[in-house]
Amino acid sequence: MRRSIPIVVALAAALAGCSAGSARSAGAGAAPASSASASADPIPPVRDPKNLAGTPPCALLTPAQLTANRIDQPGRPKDVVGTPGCEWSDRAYTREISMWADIGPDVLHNNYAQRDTYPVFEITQVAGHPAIRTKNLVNGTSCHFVVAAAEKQTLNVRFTSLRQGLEEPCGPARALAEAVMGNLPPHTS
Amino acid sequence: MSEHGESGVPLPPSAGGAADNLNAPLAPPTSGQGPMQDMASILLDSTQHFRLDVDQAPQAISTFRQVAHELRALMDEVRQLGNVKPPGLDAVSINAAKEISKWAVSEEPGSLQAALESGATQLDKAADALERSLQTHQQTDEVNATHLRSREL
Repeated sequence: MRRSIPIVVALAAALAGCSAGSARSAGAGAAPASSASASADPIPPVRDPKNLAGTPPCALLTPAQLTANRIDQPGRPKDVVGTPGCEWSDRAYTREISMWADIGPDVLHNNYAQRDTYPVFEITQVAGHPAIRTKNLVNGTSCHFVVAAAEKQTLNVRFTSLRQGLEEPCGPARALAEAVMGNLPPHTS
Repeated sequence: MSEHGESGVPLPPSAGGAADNLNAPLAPPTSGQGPMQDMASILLDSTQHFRLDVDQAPQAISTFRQVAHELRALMDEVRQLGNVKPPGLDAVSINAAKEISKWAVSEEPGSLQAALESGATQLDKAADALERSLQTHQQTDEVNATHLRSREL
């Protein structure tokens, strides 16, 4: 009887994966289902914490990084329900980037709890940090990454492709999130 | 008044409460990414006809894009509401935060974030279609003007 438990758990994990639906992506960075412990935390811990709290949102990307991403207009500070953020776009109206930093809430676990509300949901990594990629619409023009910079410090990145059919949004969204993580100083508690 | 509006037209059964009025615009679409007769489908359908002053077209394009941008900003805010922090540790605050989060990230097939993104995309498509029409019109105008000038010479 003892030997059958891991098999049952593995089967349950496999079935749970199937129930996510065909639209749900499980890309290369997706968290592997564990047969050892079904109750294990799906969000891995942050191993190399970075300090997101000390950088103003419009300074998260350097001018060189913005130019490399075809952003030719200055960042505009924004308020996202009381959380300071920044957004960028280009004069040709081909792309829009929105970022904000959540200090306090456990955003990745909150997002994980809401995973059934997104047609595209993937647990992944960005620059070695735990992250979640979501899309509101399978063929939507916006892609969203939340990246755990440190415990309870989360970077939110949304990339929207504005000219129809020109650009898949998740590639640029990931690249931008990686660029920001590379800019952040270490978090010293 | 309970069954009829001011014009005497019978009101639908759901037209009475404030909650209904708030919920109606948030109702998920029946299927797909948007309603059947959205703006882009009208603008992109060659069998549809509409009239727009050429001088007003750049302003219309700019307005469509501005509204699309605002819908995407709302999309960010709705997403953020899913992470709302309780203002206090009392049961009322915690429950309020939980309810707001639940409202923001509905489990309905057409969630609020998806509806906002869909709306923004339709407006952008409409703006793109208008921009293309305007460019075609300007090019035709220039060709005609060149043709007329060459005939005058």
